[in-house]
Formats: sequence, C-alpha cells, structure tokens
Amino acid sequence: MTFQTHDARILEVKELTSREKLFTLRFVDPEINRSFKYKPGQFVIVDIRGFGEFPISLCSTPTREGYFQLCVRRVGRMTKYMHTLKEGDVIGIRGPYGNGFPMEKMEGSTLILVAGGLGMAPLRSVLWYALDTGKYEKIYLFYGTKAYEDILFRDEVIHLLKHGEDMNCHVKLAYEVESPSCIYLEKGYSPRVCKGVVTDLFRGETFDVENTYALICGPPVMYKYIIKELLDRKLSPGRIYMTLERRMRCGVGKCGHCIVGTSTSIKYVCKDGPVFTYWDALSTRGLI
Amino acid sequence: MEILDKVYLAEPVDPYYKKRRENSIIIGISCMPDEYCFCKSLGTDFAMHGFDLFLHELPDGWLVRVGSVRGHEIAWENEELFEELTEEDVKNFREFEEKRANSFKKHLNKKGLEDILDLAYNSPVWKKYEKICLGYGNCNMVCPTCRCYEVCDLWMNAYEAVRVRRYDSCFMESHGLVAGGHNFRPTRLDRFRHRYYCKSYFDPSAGFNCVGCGRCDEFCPARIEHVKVLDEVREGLQ
Repeated sequence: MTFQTHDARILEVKELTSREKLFTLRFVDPEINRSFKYKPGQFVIVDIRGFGEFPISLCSTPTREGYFQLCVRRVGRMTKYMHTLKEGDVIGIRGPYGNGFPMEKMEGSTLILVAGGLGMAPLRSVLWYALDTGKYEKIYLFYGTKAYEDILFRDEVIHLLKHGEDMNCHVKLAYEVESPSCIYLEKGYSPRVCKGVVTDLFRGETFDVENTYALICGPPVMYKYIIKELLDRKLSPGRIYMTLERRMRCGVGKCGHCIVGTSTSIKYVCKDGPVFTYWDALSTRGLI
Repeated sequence: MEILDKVYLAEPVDPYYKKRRENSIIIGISCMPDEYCFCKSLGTDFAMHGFDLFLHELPDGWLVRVGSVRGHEIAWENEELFEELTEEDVKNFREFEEKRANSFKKHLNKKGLEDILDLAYNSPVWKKYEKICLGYGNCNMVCPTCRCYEVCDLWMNAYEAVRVRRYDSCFMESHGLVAGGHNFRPTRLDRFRHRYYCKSYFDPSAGFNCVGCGRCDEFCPARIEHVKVLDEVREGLQ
C-alpha cells in the first residue's frame, strides 16, 4: 500500500542544539529493516498518529546499516510533540521518497558541500557516504552557521576540522554571532574558521571545474548567492546540485502542494526532486 | 477524469482512488454549452473514451454510445430498454451535434499558449488580477481537475483519531507554507499565477490540465474569466 507506514522504534535521542534533536531509529519489523534502502538526499515521511505526517530528510548514511537517523528542529506542532518522545517510543515511517543525490555518477570527482544552518542534515548523509566509500577525490564542506551553539553535529564538525585533512576532507566554517567558543575555534583553525557568511568561505579556493560537483542545501535565500559564486568560477549548471524544500503531504506526486514551474514545465519537488541541478532551476521557473 | 487518472493511477498507485475508480460506472450525458463553457477550444467537447456509457439526447429518447465492456454488459442486461438505431435517429443526432458545436460563446486561443504564458511570467496582467482576485479558492473547489489535497488527523473523541484527506486550494496562504514559516508562494500574485500555470500546463501526451468547463468563471465572486485572463496575457506580450 502506497501510504502504509511502518512502525519504527527510537533507539536514541540526542540533543544537538537547543532546537534540534537527532533521532536514531530502527524498524520494528526486521524484514522491513532489511529492505529499507535509501540514497543520500532522500527523505522519509514521519507519521505521528493523532498529529499528522511530515517529510524529513534522512541524515544518516546508507553505508551504515541497521538504523537511520533524522535531525528534527522544533518549529511546529508535530515537531514539538516529536521532541517529547523518548528512547523506546514508536513512530510511523514511510519512504524513502525523492531522487537523492547521484552518488555513483559523482564517483572520482571532487565534491563541494555547501550547507547553511539546517541544510547540514541532508548533506551529512552525503558527507559520511563519501567518507565511508572513499570513492571521491576530495571533499570540501563549507558550513555557514549562526552561532557556535547552532552548529549541528558539532562534535563531528570539530573532529573533521581537526583530522579531516587525513581523509581528504576539507572543512570550513563561517559563523555570524561572535562568542568565546567561536573565537577559540577561529584561533585554532584559522583561516578555515571565520566570521562571516558561507559565501566568504569560497575566498581563495580554486577548483578543477571539469571534475567538481557542488551540492547545496540551506535556507531558500542562500541558493542565489552560492550559485553566483560557483558560476563565477565557471562551474557548469549541470554540476550544481541543490536539494529543495516544499510543503509535502503525500511524498509521491499526488497531493499537489509541491508543484513548481510554469506552463512549459511542471515539476513535483517530492517526486522529481528534491535534488535538482541548477539547470533544472533555469528551465523550470520557481524552483529557487 | 482521465487527467486525474494520470496522476492518481501513476506509479505508485493511490489505492483509495483506485478502489473508488474501479467501483464506479461512468455515464456521460451530452449537454448544451452554457455561457461559460469553452471546452470546444480544448478539444474536450466530444468524449472519445473514458466512459462506460454515453447518452445523447434525441427528441424521442436517447442515443447511447457504449465505451467499455462494462457498459456493454449494462446494455445487455437491460436489453428491453433499447431499440434498434434508425436513420432518423442518426439524423437527429447529427443535427444536435451541429447545433451544439455552433453554440459555444467562448473560445480560447490555445495556439502556443504554454510558451506565451511562460514568457509572460512578469506580465502586468498578473498584477492587475492580483488586485481583483479575492483569493476565495472557489475556482479550485469547482474545478474538475483541481486535485490538491491536505492530510489531517481529526480527533473523534479523547482516544480515537482518524486521518482524513480534504480538498486543499492553492489560493490559500498555507498551500506553499513550510515549517519554520517560510512561504514559497507568499503573495496573491504568486498564487494566482500558479493556478493559471498549473491549469495551462501542456502535457504532450495528455494535453492541457484545463478541460474548459468554465465553472471557475461561473463561481468566481470577482467575475474573473479564465479565457479573458489568458487572452489579456497573450495581448500583453504583443
């Protein structure tokens, strides 16, 4: 059944920041657990009975099997309820939906991951997938955050700042609000940590545009500036991948909320996306 | 109906829709166009398929076209209701169709419409109608191809809730709203234009998303006419 959800048990709840929690889940039915395969960039629909359903991206990597993780920010009625859940509680999950990032196609290339705020969640899936498989030449992670307290997966980001170079992973961090912790980070890892916005992190970096893919996720206002930065460096629109957000109810292209485009080209973000290239955005109005 | 089938019966199939669809018999009836109808312009005025039975009015009864095995079975089981077709019936049928074809009052110029609309993304016509449109969403409610739905959980009592689907309208502010308060279609202009783009989307295999029934005009509290808007947009480009 298309809209049938499956019970999943919460194995662990971890507080990432004051607003975000990381839920580690596993399906109650071991058969479903085995057959649940997903790609970085795909999403699931969480079903909280009595409250409703909401889409959320998977932030764990498929290379680590047996569980999956969702990073949930407390913003509304349903996510507020979800934050009250504890280990052992059961919620419904259906999916995975969407196209995900073309990880096979990008093998052997350099990846530039550009994350803004909560956009770190789906890109974390790509990051760990790339590190686990080791099939990518070099990985850049440009992460723009508001303040030190808002850094998602802070321990992982700091770990990669420290040891990332050994894994061909180059992490850069931009923060907006100054605090002692940020200044401490900046002192330790200058110039990779700086005050500013995420586009500032491009300064001084050069890429081999023939062999590079950029993957972007962040708040809607961010895309335009990042894309300008990438196009200035002559990266082809087909090599810029963005993962987008819309209101979604079904996840399979039926409910109509996520329709974008004009009379010549209509796309469903849930079914045709949520990962689009910049070329898609050029040919379909209203994507970004 | 075929437009809806294309959405709901495409993989993955919507099981609820499919079940209802399988349990329904489609009987069409030929009608005289009213003052709002422009279905002839969109080629949907004469159904070639998608029905079980189709009734055409004749002076002394009905001419019945059978469109499916199920329709054939119905006709078979009720043989006593049917008579052989006479030449006069055919003549009457032809006359009715001719009269009908000539009584359309509205015509939509659909030549290159999808490209013209795309080019007219920033047309001042949208801005003009933003002021006129009341954002009631009546046009969505009466549209035979509008199909957006919202899912919500309703509490029946303290212990039981049901998950229901209800109609949603793209004229509502919440249609493009996501968690955190960002709205992807924040102004009425965005929403108005979105509806016209959605209706005029041309699918090479299925045609336009609009069937030309004119019901949106009939029920619009602001008297906005679908054909007029599209014609004005077209003129705005020239």
